[in-house]
Amino acid sequence: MRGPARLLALLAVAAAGIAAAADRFVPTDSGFVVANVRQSQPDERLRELLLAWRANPTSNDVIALATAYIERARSLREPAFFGRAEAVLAPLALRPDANGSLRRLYAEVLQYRHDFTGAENLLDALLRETPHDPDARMLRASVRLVRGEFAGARSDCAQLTVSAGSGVTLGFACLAEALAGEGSLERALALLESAPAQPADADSLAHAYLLATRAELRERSRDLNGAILDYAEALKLAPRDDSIRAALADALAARGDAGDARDLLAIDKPSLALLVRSAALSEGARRASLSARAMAWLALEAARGDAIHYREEALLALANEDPARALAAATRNFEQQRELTDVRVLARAARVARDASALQTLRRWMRETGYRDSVTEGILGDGASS
Amino acid sequence: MKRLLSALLLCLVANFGVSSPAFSHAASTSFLILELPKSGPVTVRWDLSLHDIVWVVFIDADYDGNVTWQEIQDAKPALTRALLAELSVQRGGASCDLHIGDFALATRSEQNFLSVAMKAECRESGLVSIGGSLFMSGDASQRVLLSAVRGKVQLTGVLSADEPLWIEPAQPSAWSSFVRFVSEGIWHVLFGYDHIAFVLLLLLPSVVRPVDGKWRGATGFGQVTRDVVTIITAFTIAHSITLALAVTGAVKLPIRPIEVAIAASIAVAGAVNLVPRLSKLRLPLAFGFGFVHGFGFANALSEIDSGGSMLLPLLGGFNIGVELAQLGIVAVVLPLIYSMRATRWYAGAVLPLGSCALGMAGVVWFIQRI
Repeated sequence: MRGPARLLALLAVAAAGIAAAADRFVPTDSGFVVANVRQSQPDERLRELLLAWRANPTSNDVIALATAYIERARSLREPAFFGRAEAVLAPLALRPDANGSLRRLYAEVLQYRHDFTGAENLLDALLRETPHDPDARMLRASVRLVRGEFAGARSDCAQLTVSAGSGVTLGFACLAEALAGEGSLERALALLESAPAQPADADSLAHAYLLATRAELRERSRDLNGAILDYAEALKLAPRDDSIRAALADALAARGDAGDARDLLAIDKPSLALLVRSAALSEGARRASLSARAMAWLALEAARGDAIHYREEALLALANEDPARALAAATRNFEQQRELTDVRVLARAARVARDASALQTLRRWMRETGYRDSVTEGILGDGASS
Repeated sequence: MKRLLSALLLCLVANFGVSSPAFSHAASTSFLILELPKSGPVTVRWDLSLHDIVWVVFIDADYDGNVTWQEIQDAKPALTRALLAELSVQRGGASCDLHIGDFALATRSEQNFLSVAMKAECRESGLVSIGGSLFMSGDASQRVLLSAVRGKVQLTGVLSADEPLWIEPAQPSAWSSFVRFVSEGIWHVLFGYDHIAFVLLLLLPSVVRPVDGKWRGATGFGQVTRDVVTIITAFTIAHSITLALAVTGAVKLPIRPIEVAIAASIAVAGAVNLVPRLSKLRLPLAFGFGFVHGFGFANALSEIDSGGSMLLPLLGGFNIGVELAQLGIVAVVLPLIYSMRATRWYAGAVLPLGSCALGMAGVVWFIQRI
């Protein structure tokens, strides 16, 4: 048995161990704090929304409740609130009479679960009915960019550039990403330079997205120092965004500043994306400890049947010099999402596993889309997309 | 970065404070651990996250956000009622009486879980099923990971709000397990190109004899048969021993060195075939590398879900499947090469070039696996 089948089987074996293993203990101190549940239990506002929804579960109150859940999921970094949002949305969102907000929120939940096909189908239907819904269009653009569907994303992003307020900034950044996906890196960078100026405090997150996009384009164009400056600036504007933090850490490590990257990753309660990078950049006992934590996390998710962290699994396997596992995870991840890290991790995994077929698949995709990244081209070693 | 884009969407729509949807732990999970004796009460241990329970039972009495051990003790009557309402156990189609035992804690994923010991008294015998709301209502992402022990067999399951019922699978009969694993053994050899390569390398020189440093065609079928039987039997005995040792857990070896050694065995066997004077090494090589290939078979077997099969039919079936596949290869290849043995091009081209090609494949696999 090779590849994904072997990976699944190994994880299934691990899952049996996960469920069973854990010693019981009884605290000797009755004041022992078992758990802090402040963030996980409903606050007053949520309780009101819950009561309203329970009184009438088919009403539009569900939108307010689901929105509140998703807000909490994001602000508290608590995945269970996405599950709660899904539980209230699912019975209604797929009904023919479901309104746009309901369906868009459900698409958001599906995207979180990495059910990109489900999310895109839902948004396709929604935009057929209401083609001028900028929120649905923006969400579909983000789904398409994640999946590497650059032509479709370009079309959505272009329409956002004529929207109002911060939407213009987002539209320009999104359009630049789509153009860069198709190989027009220089044009994409020029587009970002021409984005209408907005006060940085008008919408700092929109500006952070623009800076992070420019950083990625610079990184792909061999301007690592410029990329690091942009990522750092973006992180100042969006300090809780782990994807920017991870990208900055990767760029710092690539420049040889592993110590700075480690410091950047050393935050309280890191996400798995940050944890695997910390493990990769650490040594000795610390590396073993971080790696074990990440492995336990992945094994638990595998046992649950989640499929949202193949990228991190591949990164960890690469760090732990397990080429077969890295390639299996990177390949599955690439089937789901095709952002810069996904492209690079597949290239690295295919190279260390010496898998000609995987290398060829990546080369073909880059040729077909026009995707350019100096690092990936270096790993592939043959000017893949040129 | 697209995660930020989708987060921004909500920001624009509802003026939210936004952060990344990267989470500091996996979604909510609880753990059910069962012991399923043939008779007597079913032992149940349920490890639950307080973060889930607080949606159903009011525990944080002083509402300071911290649940203390004392607050759990105080809430025990309410917790007991909730546990009995959220979990049901059946055996043989009849409901069992669930008795709550002691409360303790268990640390999982760096969090303290409430660990509740229970016993289910069942009037009927038969297969156990377990289900209920399991504190999952309201959270579509929640899962209950179930681990059950039935004799020496480990069973697992995952329950969710969509599929909140686990039914104990019937134990497969010894015969059905045997038949299934015969098939697994056959398929493993037929799709495991490295084992086929090694068996072919053992077969290729069996129809020739070394004479004055050169290969000459063997004189009769009896002589060839004796050679094949001896070599294949030696290989079979050796790999059967290590397969049994590894599957029973008597010996444990890491996968990677075994995979490397299997590749090396193919390279070495290919090289030996090129030098007629080394033909005496074929038997010790078949026997020695047979031990290595046995560990390889064990690795393959460990990756197959046993589905509750008993060890003996599982092991015996897989081993016999491997032998049947090997015999199948012999049955197809031997008549062919026997018919060609006396030709000049068999000893001069087929044997050396075939051995060379297979041996080189072994070298490539060796390099790939180190």
